[in-house]
Amino acid sequence: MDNIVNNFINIPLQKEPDFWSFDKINHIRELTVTGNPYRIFVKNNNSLRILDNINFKTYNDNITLNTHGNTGSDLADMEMSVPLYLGDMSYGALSGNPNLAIAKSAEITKTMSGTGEGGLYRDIASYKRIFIQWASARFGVTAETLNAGSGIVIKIGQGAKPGIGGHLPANKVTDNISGARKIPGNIDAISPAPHHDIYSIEDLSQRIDALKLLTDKPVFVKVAATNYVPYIVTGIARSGADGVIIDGHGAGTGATPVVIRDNLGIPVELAVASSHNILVKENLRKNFKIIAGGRISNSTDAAKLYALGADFVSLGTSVLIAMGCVMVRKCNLGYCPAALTNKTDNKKLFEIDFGVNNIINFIKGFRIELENILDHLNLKNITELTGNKDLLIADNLSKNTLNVLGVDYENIKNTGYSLENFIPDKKYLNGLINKGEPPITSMGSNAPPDVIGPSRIVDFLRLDGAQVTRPSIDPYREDISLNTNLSGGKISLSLPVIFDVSDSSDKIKEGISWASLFMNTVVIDNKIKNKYKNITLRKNNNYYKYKNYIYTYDYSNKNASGYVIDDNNLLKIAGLNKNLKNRRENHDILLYVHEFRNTGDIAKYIALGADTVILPSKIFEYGISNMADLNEKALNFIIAIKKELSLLCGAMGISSMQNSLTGNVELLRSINLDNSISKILNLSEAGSE
Amino acid sequence: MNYYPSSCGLLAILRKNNSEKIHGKLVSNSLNSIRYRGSDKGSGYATFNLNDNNSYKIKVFYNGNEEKLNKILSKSFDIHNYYVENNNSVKSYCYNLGTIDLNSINTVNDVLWENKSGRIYSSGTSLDVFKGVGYPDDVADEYNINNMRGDLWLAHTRQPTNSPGDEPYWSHPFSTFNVAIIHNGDISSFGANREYLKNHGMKSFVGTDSEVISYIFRELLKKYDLITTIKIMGNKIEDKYTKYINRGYVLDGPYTVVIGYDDGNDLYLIGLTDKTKLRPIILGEDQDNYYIASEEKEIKLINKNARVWTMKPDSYFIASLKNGLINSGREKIKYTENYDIDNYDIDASSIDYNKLDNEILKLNQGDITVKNVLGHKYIGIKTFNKNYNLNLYGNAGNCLMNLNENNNVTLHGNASDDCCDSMSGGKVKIFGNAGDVLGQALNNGRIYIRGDVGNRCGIQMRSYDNKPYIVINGEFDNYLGEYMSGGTIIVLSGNGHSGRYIGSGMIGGKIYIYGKINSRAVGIQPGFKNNILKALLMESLIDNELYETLRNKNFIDIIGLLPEEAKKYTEKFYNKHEIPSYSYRHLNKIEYDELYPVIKDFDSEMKTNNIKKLNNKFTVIERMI
Repeated sequence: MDNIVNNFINIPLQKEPDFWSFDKINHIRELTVTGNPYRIFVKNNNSLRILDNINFKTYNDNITLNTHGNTGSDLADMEMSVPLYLGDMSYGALSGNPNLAIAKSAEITKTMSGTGEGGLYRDIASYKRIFIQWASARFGVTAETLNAGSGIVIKIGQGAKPGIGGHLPANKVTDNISGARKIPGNIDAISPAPHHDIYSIEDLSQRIDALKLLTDKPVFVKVAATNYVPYIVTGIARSGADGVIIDGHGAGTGATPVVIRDNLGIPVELAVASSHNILVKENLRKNFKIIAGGRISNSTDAAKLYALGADFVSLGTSVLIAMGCVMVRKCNLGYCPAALTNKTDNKKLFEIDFGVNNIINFIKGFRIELENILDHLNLKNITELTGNKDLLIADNLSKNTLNVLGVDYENIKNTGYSLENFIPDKKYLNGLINKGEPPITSMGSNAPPDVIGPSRIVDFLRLDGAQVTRPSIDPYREDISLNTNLSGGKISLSLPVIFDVSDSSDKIKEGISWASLFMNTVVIDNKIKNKYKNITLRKNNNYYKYKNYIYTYDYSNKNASGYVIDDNNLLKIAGLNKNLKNRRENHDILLYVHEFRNTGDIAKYIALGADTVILPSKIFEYGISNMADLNEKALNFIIAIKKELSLLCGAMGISSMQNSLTGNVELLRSINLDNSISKILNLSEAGSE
Repeated sequence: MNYYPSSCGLLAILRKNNSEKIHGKLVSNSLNSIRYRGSDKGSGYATFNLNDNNSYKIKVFYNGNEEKLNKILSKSFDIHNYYVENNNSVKSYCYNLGTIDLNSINTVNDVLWENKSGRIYSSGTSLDVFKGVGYPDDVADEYNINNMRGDLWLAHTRQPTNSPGDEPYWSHPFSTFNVAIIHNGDISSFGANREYLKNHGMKSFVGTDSEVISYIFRELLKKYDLITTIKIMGNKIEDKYTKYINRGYVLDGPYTVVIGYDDGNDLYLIGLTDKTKLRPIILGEDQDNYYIASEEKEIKLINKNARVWTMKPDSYFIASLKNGLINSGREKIKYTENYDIDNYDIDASSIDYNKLDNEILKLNQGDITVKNVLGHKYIGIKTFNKNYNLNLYGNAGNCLMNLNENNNVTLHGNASDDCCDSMSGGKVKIFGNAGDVLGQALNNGRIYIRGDVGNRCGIQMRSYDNKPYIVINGEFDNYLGEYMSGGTIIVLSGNGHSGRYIGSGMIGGKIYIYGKINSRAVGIQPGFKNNILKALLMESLIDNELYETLRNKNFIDIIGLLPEEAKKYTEKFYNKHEIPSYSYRHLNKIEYDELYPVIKDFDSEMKTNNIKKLNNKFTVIERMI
C-alpha cells in the first residue's frame, strides 16, 4: 500500500520569496489537524500585498470555541454554513480523487465547490453542491452535466492567466482524460483563449439566457480581475447573471505561461472594492453575489475581502494545502509529491478519505475563526460584514490605491518608491534560450510589486487581460501581428525588439545577428559586417547610423528618425511624447532596456509610448550556460520572446501590436505606485473606474 | 427569475437615388425590435438630408447657464438663431450658424468639457443627431423622430461597457462635421488612438472608443480620399510610408462601425468590421434602400423580401445616394430564397424571440412545422433530447440547436451565429446560409448546409466514440476547423473561394475541400519566409538551387522540402499545431467509402448533386505529424 498518499509530507525549505510562506501553510495544517481555530486578525507587517496593509480597526486575537457569530448565508438557493466556495479545479489538473474529495467535502460542510472545465470524474455528479463550468473548450459539456449541479459557471477567465485558455500539458492528457474530454491523448489540451460564442456583453447575456432556459439554474460568470473590472462586473450584472467570481492576480493554476501569470491582472482586493462600489451606485448589487478568489490564505484575508464587498471567497490553493500540497510548483509536470496534481494514470493515489477529513477540519477551523472575528467586531451575522468598509483601516498605501479601496487610512505612502536591487531571472532566460518556447509554470504568481520587492517602475505595472467586453485572441492558433515599421516605413521588423550586440564577443554577435536575420529584425553594432549589412544599424558613441536613419538623444533634431530613451530614465518618455506633438508621426521612440526581467517589460514599455525596445546582448549571455549552438540558442531566444509577445497581445485582445499598443496606457494599470509617478506617466490605478 | 439581457444594436438605412425619403418611424420601429440588445442607458439617431443651401447647424448638450453658453459659442461662431430642443437635466440646444470651421468646434468643446458641463454633439450642413438616455422608443419620442424623414439614417441602442450611462454625452451616434458614427465594439487600440489624436492636437474627449473613431475618420479625410481613409482605419494599407505615419489611426479589437458621411456632393453609408468580424453585421438591399443591421430581423421587418448578405471578415461596405453600391462587403452577393409554407403547426410571428421552444413543447406531436421564424434565438435548447422532427421556415436567430442530442431539424432559411454548439447527436439541415461559429465542439450527428458558412465553422469538432460530419455545399470564411480534434468537414463548392487560416491548431479529424485551394490559406504561416531562407542559405543548411526553388513557395510548401538540419529551425513555428498538413489528391479507397454514403445522403436531403465529385481531387487537410 506504499502508493496510497494519506499523510502530510514535510514542507521543503523555500529558497525564494513565496506568497504561500511556511507560516501560511502551517496555519492551514493546524486547522486541518485539529479542526479548531488557530489565529485570527493575522498581521503580515512586512508584506507588500495591498490586503496586508489593510487591517480591521479592531484588534483582538483571543480565540474561543464558545462563539456567537453566525457565518451562515446562501448561494444558488442553498443554505451555506460559511461563505466559502471551493474553486474550480478541473479533473485533469487534479488527479481525480482530490476532485472527488472536494465535491464530497462541500456536501458535508454545506459549502459549494466548482468543478472546473475538464468534465466530471466518476460519481461527482451525485453531489449537489457543485457548480458546473461552461468553458471555452466545452470539455465534458452536455445537457445532462449542465443540469447536474446547483448552478453553472461561465468561465471567461482566471486570475493566473487572464486572457488565455486552460492548458493541460501533453503528459497529463492520459487515456482517462482523453476519454473525459473527447480529445486525442498525449498532446497539449489548450482551450481557446476566448469563448467563440461570447465576444461581447450581449453575447454573454444570450448565453446566460440560453443556459437558464436549459437548466433553470443560477448562472455565475467567472472573470479574471483586469483593468476594466468594475465595468465588466456591471455588464455581467445587467446581463442577467446571478453573480460573478472575480479571480485576482496571484491565484493558483495547474499550468500557465510565466509571462502571462506575472504581468497581467490586478489584485482581487482592488477589484472587489471597486466592483462592489459601482454595483451599489448603479443599483445592481441586490440579489447579485460577488465571489472573490486569489491568495485567500486564512480567515483574516477572507474577512477583509467580505468587508471590502465580497459575499463569498473562493479557496483553491489553500484547499490543496489542506490536502497536503507543499507548493513545489510542479503541477504542470504531473509528478506531484502529494499526489494531488499528478497524472491520472500514476500509481501514486491520493486517498479520498484523507482529503475529505482534512477539508472538513480545515473548514470547521476556518469557520470558528470567522465566528471569533464576528464576535470581536460585534457583528451577529457574516452577511453584515459584506461591504462594511468602515471597519477597515489602511496604512502606507498610495493615494490612488486608497481611492479605489475607499477605506479609512493612517498614512499615505508618498516616500518615493523604495527599490530593491534588480536581479535578472536566470532560470527564466535559460528556459527561453533552451526551448524557444514561453516557459510554463504552475500555481500563483510571486511577481513584484506584491510579493517580490519592486526594483523598477514597470514592476508596479500590470497589463490588461481582455474579459467579456472584448474577446482575447488565441495566441497559439490565430493571427497576431507584431510587425513593426520604423524610420518612415524603411525598416520593417517582425517583432519590436532590436539587439545591441556591440559589447559582445564575435561568437555572440554572429549568433544573434544570424537569428535576427532569420527572424526579420535588426541588430545594432559598432562595426558593420558585410553579410549582415542589411540588418545592422551602426553605433557611434551616442549615435546609431543606418542609411538615413539616425538615433540621437537630442530630441530637437528634426532630421532624426528616432530617439532613444534609457529604461533608467523612463519618466522622460512622457515629456518626449508631449513635446514631439504632431512630429511624433515621423519619429520613432526606442527604449533601451538595461534591466530585463521578462518579456512583459517589452509590452509595458511599448504601452508607455515606445515603438520598439533595444536589448543588449548581455541579457542573452547571462541566460546561456555554454557557448555551444549559439545560432539555435539566439533563434530560440528571439522566437520565444516573439511567442511571449503574441501571448501578451492576444490576452489583451490586440491583433496588431505596433498600431494598438504604442502609447496605449489604457492597457496598463499601476499597483500601489506613488501618485507623482502615475501622474507623469498618465497611469490609472488598478481597479479605478 | 426576472432579468433583462442587454447590449449594443445598430441599424442604418440609405435611400436609393430615385426612392423616397425614409420615415423615422420605420427606423425607430426596426431598432426597437432589438431593444434587448441595448438598455435604458442610451439610444440615438442621426439623419442626413442632402441639400445645397449651406445652412450650418450645431447641437450642444449643456447643463449650465444659458447665457454663459451663448457667450462661449459667440466667441467662435456667427450665431443666427438658437432654440432649446430638449429640456432634460442636460439640455440640448440647437444653433443655426453662418459658417463652421472644424477647429472652432474643437476649441469650443475643450472649453465646454473642462467641467464636463457640455459638448457639441452634432455639427454640419445636412446632419442632425438626436440622442439621449433611454430605450430606442423613449428617445424617438423625445425628439419626435417618428415624424421625420431622411435620406440616410443611423440608429443605435446602447449597453455601456466601459463608460458611464447616465448622461447623454456617451450615447451614439458620435459626430464631427457632417460625419456620424455608430459602433458596436470594444476598441482595444483605443488608448493608442487617443494618444495619436492628442499628438495631432485633439485635446478633450468625452472618453469612449466610439467618439475616437469619429475623430480619426475626420482627421484622415483631411489628407486622404474616402477609400484610403477606410483602409487605414481597417489596417488594409500596403504602402509602407502611409502605414507608418498613420500607425496610431488603426482600429483593433472587435468592432462593427457604421459611418454616415456627407462630402458636400453625395451621402455615403459605410460599414467596417474588424479582421475576424467579431461583432455582428448584416448587409441588405431592396428596391428602395441599402441596409446595415446587427440582426437580419431588423431588415426583414422593414421588407420581408429584402435580400441580405453577411460581410466578409476584414472587409468594408460603401454605398452612396448618387452612385449606389460602391463596395458590397463580399466578392459576390448571393441570393437566398425566401421560403414559405401553407401548412404549419406554429406561426412564430407573434412569439417572443426566446419562447419558441415553449410553443413546440405544448404540441403533443413529433413532427412540427413552424413558419415565420424571424430571429428567434436558442431554438431547441429545451427540446434537446425530445426526438422531434422540426421543420422551420424563416431565419433563425443565434444558438439554434445548441446541445442537440437527437432532433432532426430542417431550416428553410438562414441560421445566425453559434448554431449547433456542443451538439452530440441528431441532424440539422440548413437550406440557406449559416453564420459564424457553426458546429463548435460538435461531437456527434450531422450538419448539412446548402449555402455558405461564416467564420470558424466546425471549430473544436471532436470525436471519441462517434463520427460527426459537417457538409457544406457553398463557401466558408476564416478559421474553418480551427482547434479541430476529430470528425470530418466536407466542403463541396469547389470554386477556389475560401477563407484563410484553415485548420489552424488542428490536432485531429479531417477537412476535405473539393478542388484546389491556395496553400497560403492553410494554418498560420510566418510572413517573413524570405529571411528564413536567406539565413538557412547563409549557414549552408540549404544550397543555392534549393533556395531558388523555395523562394516562390508558401511557407507550408517549403517545410516538406527542407533537409532535416534545416527543419530543426523552421519547425519552431509549428510545434503548437499552428499549421496542419495538406495534400491535393484523389480520395483513397477508405476515404471514398467513408464519404460516399455521407454525400449520397446529403444530395438526397439537400437536393443537390455532388456525388460525382468524389471521383475528383480534393484538398485534404489534417493534423501535421
